[in-house]
Amino acid sequence: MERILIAEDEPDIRELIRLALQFNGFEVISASDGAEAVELASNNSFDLIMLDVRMPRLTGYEACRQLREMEATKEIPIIFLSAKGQEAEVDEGLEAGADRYILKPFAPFELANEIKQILAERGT
Amino acid sequence: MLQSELTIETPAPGITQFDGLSRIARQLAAGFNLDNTLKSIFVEAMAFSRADGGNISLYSESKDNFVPNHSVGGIPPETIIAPIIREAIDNQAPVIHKRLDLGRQLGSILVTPIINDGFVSGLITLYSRKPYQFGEPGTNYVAALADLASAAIVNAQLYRDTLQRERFYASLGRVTLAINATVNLPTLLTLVCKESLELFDVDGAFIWQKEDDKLIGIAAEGHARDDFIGTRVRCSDDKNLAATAANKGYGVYSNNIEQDQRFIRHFPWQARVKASLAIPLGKDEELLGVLQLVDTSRNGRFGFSDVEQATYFGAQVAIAIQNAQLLTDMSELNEQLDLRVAERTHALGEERDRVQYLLRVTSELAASLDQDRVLVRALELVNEIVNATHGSILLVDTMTGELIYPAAFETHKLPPLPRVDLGIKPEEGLAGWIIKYRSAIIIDDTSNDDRWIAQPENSELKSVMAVPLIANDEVIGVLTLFHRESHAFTQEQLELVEAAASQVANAISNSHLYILIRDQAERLGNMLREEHLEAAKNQAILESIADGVLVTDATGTVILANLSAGQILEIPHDQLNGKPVNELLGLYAATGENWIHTVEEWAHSTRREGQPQFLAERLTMEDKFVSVRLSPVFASGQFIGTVSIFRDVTQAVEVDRMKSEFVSTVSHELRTPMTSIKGYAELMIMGAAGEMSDAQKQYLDVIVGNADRMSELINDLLDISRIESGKTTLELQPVNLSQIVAQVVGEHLQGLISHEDKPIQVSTEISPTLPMVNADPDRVTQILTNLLDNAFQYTPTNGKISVTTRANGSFVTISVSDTGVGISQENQAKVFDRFFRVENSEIQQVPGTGLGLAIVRSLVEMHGGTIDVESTLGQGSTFTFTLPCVSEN
Repeated sequence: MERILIAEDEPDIRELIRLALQFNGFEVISASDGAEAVELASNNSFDLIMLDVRMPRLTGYEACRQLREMEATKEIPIIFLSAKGQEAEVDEGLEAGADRYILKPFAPFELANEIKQILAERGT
Repeated sequence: MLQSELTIETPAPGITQFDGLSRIARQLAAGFNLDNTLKSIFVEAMAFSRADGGNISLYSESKDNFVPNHSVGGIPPETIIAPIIREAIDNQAPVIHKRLDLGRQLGSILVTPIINDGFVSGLITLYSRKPYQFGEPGTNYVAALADLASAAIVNAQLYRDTLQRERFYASLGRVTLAINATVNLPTLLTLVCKESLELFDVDGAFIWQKEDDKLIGIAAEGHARDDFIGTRVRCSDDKNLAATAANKGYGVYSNNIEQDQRFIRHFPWQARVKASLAIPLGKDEELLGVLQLVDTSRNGRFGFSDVEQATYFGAQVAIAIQNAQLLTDMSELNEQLDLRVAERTHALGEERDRVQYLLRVTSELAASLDQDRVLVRALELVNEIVNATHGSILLVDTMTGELIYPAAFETHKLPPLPRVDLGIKPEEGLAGWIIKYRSAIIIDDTSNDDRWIAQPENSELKSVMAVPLIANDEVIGVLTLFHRESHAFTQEQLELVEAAASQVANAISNSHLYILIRDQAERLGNMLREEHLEAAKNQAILESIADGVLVTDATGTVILANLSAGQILEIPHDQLNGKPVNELLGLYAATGENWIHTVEEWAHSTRREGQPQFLAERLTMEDKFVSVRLSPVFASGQFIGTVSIFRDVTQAVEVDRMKSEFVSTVSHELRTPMTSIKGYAELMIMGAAGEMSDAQKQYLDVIVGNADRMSELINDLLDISRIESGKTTLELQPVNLSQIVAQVVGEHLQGLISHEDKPIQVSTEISPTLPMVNADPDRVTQILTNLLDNAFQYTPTNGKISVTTRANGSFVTISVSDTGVGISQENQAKVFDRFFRVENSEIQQVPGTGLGLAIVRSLVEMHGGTIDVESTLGQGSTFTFTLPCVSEN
């Protein structure tokens, strides 16, 4: 079972993602901010990490940059899930090292499909 | 001496020989009588060798032969001994013939050469009638005697030369002193000739003077002296002795001038001259002449030492002549200078008087601008020089061209006659002549001059002086002076009057000008007052308005700026005036460039009415925004400047910015709750919370659909706020429109049709030669998608939608037509406004944000295109927009 780490400060949305992914057969670990996400990722192994952009303590961008610098996490696929959809914001996320940038609001089943696709690409 | 000593030692002579040699040597030492010594030598030689005859001979230069000095007895004939003598000379050694064939008998002969400096200067010839007479001792002894003879010749020559030199230089010193003391040139030349006779022991001495390319005889003494004076010869004549010397620059002589083939050009005075020597006086450019010496008694008179001495003397003479000439020139110069100083002093005095007079005329006339006073005073001043009995000034009337008579006087009858109009035609009489020929004249006697028209009242006038008055190259009148007596005026007076007349003319011209300017000034003053009033009114209006007004002339220089313009541009408005508009460039950085460049471009190109009429720009300053509207100003079709209207829009811009920021923040904040609403609803539809009934699913679908609509609204709001705040930038590139049309119609529109299950007939018409447009492909897709979304929504089932594109000049026109409900005329103007939605009961159900067309219009305009709508209610609408083609360069 693939393990997915999600970082999201908004509890409702964190729960929504967790439910949607679990429903689609993924194991989900949650973090409520960027710093916690980095800490969890460095001590555990994940198949994919999903980051919100605007989070307390450590923003999604910064967390993504740190993950990309660490040996253990630099190859793990990262998805941004954000309400910030301006071009500059999307660009910054991709430059920080993310594989996808998905805009809120999102359809949960589409999100699950997206993750499956990324993991399938990685698997081959 | 040395030679003789050696000779004495060598042959080891007997007592007799030794005695002979020492006797002769003593004689040689005692005196310089060459003849006696040679005689003794010859006698000794004859005696010792027991010769029967012989001679001792010396070489004569003039005869080019050996001439016997002493002879005893006879010698064989010339024919026999000539070859022997030749042999002795050629070998420079004694020749002895012991068996000399004399025809009937045999004899002996000994020929011994006397040698000086390698030349045979004499011969001792001894002859005996017996053969085998001269043995070796005899030959050697004679050779020793020949050496003594050689020494004697050298001594004698030396003695003679020394004596002569001593005499010469003693004389020369005296002569040089004498000639240098002589400063009068003719006296000097005569003295030189006279002294030359004695100095060189000659019969005649001549001096030629060089004049241009000739030599001219100017001084002579002795032989033919009177005939010589005035003789001429060309310097280049190489057949004349004197000319040759002048030409070559050194002394030349001929010792046999009558037969000398070099110099065949003779003069009568040269008859009987045997030898002549010519020495140039001075050298090359400074050649003064030639000194020529002649001797009528002796051929072979001159030798090298004569040339040397004469050259030396010639140099002294040349210096003396130069000195004398210099002195003569100096004294002449002095005299001339004295004369010229006196003349100049006199001329300067006259000039000073003249200048003072003219200065007075100028300053007095310039002081008055009143014409009548100028004329009267001018006549008075002019008459100070000439003392005329009558005088007048006639002026050409600029209006009628006739002559008028504004001033005149008669001696002792001043003040003048009143101004009268004579009605004289300018071409008549003396005045007419003066005007026509523009020159001043004096008539000495009026009774015999055609130009003078005699009349009863002027019959008493005999002399006339008339001068034209010329100002600015135009004859403005004639000044005339009269006298009762004939020949009263002089040429000098005329010149001075002419000079004064030009001042008078200027003064008259100035007073004309003054009147002209005074009238003009008065007229202008009145006009100015009226205009000032008018301007004050306009100014008051201009200053009271809040908008800034700035006017430039055709060159782009600010000529008017009101108070508000100064305040808005933050430059004191009085400092704006006169400034070239490009000096304001720094104020608005890049945002002002377009405005300023347009002003300049208009200024530098010839503009016609009908070209783009204005430019609207927004300028950004440090803390404010200014909108400017720039228009060209034309007067009778001619571009004469620009008017810019400025308005401070800082507040409006700030409000706009705050609104955009607000929209951006709110939109973002809305997305988070929307995510939860939509997400959880979908989660439930998926069955994540357990199985849903159909009704539950249907209600959840409504929630999701409205959440999507809200997301769209948020996206549109963000789009429009970004576009309006200028944050959206285009990534322009050459775009193939037909591809985009095909894609949007084929995927998006057909997708909608099948998704909504609403059949609509779609047609696209794309010109095959459609050029590429310069556009951002994503934005073009967005524009088309929006327009087609609208068309789809407002077109009923089985309606028609068509897309057509075609090239139109430098633009491509894209039209989207539908057969929908249409838009009323009234609403057509509003459809592109934000949040405008047509109030229509029939289309209540059509979802939309009311922002789509506003975004479309903004995007089209950002590309530089335009968008329009045509519509008829109930029949359909056509939206048409344009995009610029890729420019060829």
